[in-house]
Parts: sequence; C-alpha cells; structure tokens
Amino acid sequence: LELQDAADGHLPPGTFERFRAGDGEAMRLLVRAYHVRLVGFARLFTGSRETAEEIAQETFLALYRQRGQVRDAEAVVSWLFTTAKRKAMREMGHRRHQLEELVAEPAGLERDGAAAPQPVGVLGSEQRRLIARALDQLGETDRALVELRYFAELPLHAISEQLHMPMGSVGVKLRRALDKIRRTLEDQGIRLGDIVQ
Amino acid sequence: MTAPHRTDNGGADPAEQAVRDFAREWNAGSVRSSEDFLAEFDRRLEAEATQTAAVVVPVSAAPRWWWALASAAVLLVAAGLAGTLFRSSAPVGRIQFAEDRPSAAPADLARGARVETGGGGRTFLALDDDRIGIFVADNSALEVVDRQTVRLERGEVWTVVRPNSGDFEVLTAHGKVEVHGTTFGVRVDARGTDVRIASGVVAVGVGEQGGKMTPGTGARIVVDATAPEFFAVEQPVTPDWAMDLLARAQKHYTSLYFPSANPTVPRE
Repeated sequence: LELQDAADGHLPPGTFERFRAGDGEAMRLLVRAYHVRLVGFARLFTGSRETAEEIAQETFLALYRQRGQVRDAEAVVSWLFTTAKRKAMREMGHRRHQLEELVAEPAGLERDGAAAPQPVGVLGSEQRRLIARALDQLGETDRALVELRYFAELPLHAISEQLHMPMGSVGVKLRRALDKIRRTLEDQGIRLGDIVQ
Repeated sequence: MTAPHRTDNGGADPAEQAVRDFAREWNAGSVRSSEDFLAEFDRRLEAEATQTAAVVVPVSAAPRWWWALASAAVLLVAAGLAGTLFRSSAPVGRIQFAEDRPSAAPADLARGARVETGGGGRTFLALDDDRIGIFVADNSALEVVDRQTVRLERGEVWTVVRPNSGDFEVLTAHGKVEVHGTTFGVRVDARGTDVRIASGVVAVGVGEQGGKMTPGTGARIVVDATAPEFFAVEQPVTPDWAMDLLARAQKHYTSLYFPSANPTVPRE
C-alpha cells in the first residue's frame, strides 16, 4: 500500500523522519514518489533520457548521503530539484535544449540511442510541439518559473525561496509567463479551447 | 491541429492547464522504465550501505598534549615514510590507518568512495600514489571524488600534499580550497568552512571570488557568502588530533613489521 501511495505522489506520515534516521525503505519511498518528476525535470536540461536518469540517480544517492543534514520534508523536495538542475547544467555545459526539437523526435531516434517511450496523455503530437515552441520562446526567468511550478510541481513558496523572489512576485510573473504562452499559441492560430475543455 | 481533447481543468486557466498537461506528459515520457530505475537505485543504495559500513571508524579519545611535541616538519617526513612503505596500486587511493580498527587497513578507495568517521574516530588516507595524505578527524564525512579531489561534507581534515607534485582540491558546500604542495586543514560545520595553513600557499574561493593564503593567515567561508574572509591567526596551527593519529599509525605499522620493537605512543 505504501509503495502504491508513493507512486501516486503521497508519502505516508513519518517517511521523512524514517529517512533521516537512515531507513532504506523510507528512502525507496521517496525515490518512488519523486523519480518521474526529477527525471523529467533533469531532461529539460540534458535533452537525453539516459543522462537525465543518471543525474536523478546521483541526486537521490547524494540526498541519502546527506540525510543527517535534512531540515524538513519541503527542504528535501526543493533540494532534489536544485541539485538535479545544477548537475544537469554542469553536465551539458550550461546549454539549453529546444523542447520543440525534442518532442518532435520520433521514437527510436533518441540522441542516446535508446528507444523513446511513446508519449501518452491528452495532448496530440502537434499540440505538444506547439506548446514546446511556446515554452522555448520564454525568457530565462519565465522559463525557470514554469519549470519549477509545472514540471517539478513545487509550491509557490518553495519557488520563491529557490529563485530569491518575493512570493507575490512569483504569482504575478507566473501569470505573465502563462499569458505569453497563450499569446504565442494564439499567434499560431491555436485556440486553447481546442486543447483544453 | 489534431482533434480536440477533453481535459477536466476544473475551471482553471486554459493556458495553465495546457502547460500542466504538457509537463505531466513530458515527465511521464522521460523515464524509460520506472521499474528499472527503482531497481537500479536499490542496487546503488545497497552498494552505498556496504561501502559506508566498511569505512566507519569507531571513536577514540585524543591525548591533548601530544601535538606540542610534534612539528609540521615531522608530520611531513613521517607521512612520506608511511607512503613509501605502503605504496598503493589502487587507481585512486587507500585507507592507510583506521584508528581502533587497524586490521581494516590498508583498504583501497575507489573513485566516489565515502569515508565517514561516524560517532567518532579518526582515519588516515593516502591519495594519488601517496602524493596526498589526508587525516580525517572524528565526526567527519568526505567523498573521494577522484585521485586529487575530495568533497568534505562535515567535520575536519588535515592534509599534507607533497611539494611540486601537482594539484589537490578540497570542495565543501560553501566553496573550495586549491593547493599545489602544502600542509593545511579544512573544517566544515553548520556556519561555514574554516581553512588553516601550516606551510606553502593555498587558494580559497567561492565561485570566481577568492584569494591566496600563506602561513599566519586563516580563511573562513560563511554559509551563502560570495567570497571568503581572510584574517591573521597565531601559529602553529597543526591540530593535536592529527599529530596523535599519525603517532598511532606509526606505532601500528612499526609493530606490524618489527614486532619486537614494541613502540609506544605517549599518553596523558
């Protein structure tokens, strides 16, 4: 039951306390709960699934090594994404990948030679490509806000702490970033009502 | 554009819902196999637990007066002797002496190895074919990043680098210390990183900001600082625990090779 809850992103009470005490099972629950988000987040910077998975593995292991210094549960989650981004940026020489190119890559043509999983979900391939293009056109700060909010799924106060930005500004800037995405999509003749109902 | 898709957005902003959907699909499509990922992490976690358990050194109290009998010169000569006797063929380095667990050493250290002196205890490492000697205080943890770099996570190390032999770096959460041939110490605690030097020259930095220090100078990098602070300190700075550890390592190895010599280590 704990494993399924963790896979759904819900951790049983006391998981972080057990993790801090060095409980390997609690660490595994953390990995199960956050690995999808962490790999996806790292892949925003690496472009490669294989490299993103390696970075996520290293990040989780680094967390386990530093478990004695963990402040609280929220600090753990925030630390995971900060560390993964730093590792990924260092790995890639601080170059950013164009999401549009990545989502357009057909299965089997991953740059690391691995078979790419077929995307599943509510969006069609053309919709994915256009949203990726809109994300690519965001400025550095707007892009960082969107990455932390929607890919890492961090709460606003954690984003405020990570970006050294007042809480109020995070909400306002995020709203403006979404407005830019909407305008970019509308400039391409896309009505959001066609994507989201 | 493909056919419209239905999403229950609960009245949320459509742009936000579209980005949220995109992000979730992106994340889900980024992991090639969750089961493989989790199995791989299990494997690494078990390897980590095994490795850590093998290098945890129990505590032993340090005599407080022994350091007064020693000097930095003695430390350098003695470290060289130990290095010559037990030259490593390992690719990165080895544990030369683990206090209270002498039978556990020497033990090879692989790249990425973690050395933890848990509830107490001290240990002595040699890296890069004995070019670098590292004395690890109790309650310390470090990672051997490669043959000339360690990451000090907590606690204290005292380090001897053979002059003109190449570079060595100590990384901490707050900055880094670069040396080329010197005797120096680094201590990490919740407030920051402290650096002391007994001989040679050390460069201390945070990102691109930093400076060089020589004997008679101390440096400190406080948490979240953008540059280190330098200040004058009284000499000598060689810590008594490192001198004591070396004496115990010498006693152990002398006993091992010359059982009848029966060397002693002064005690309080």
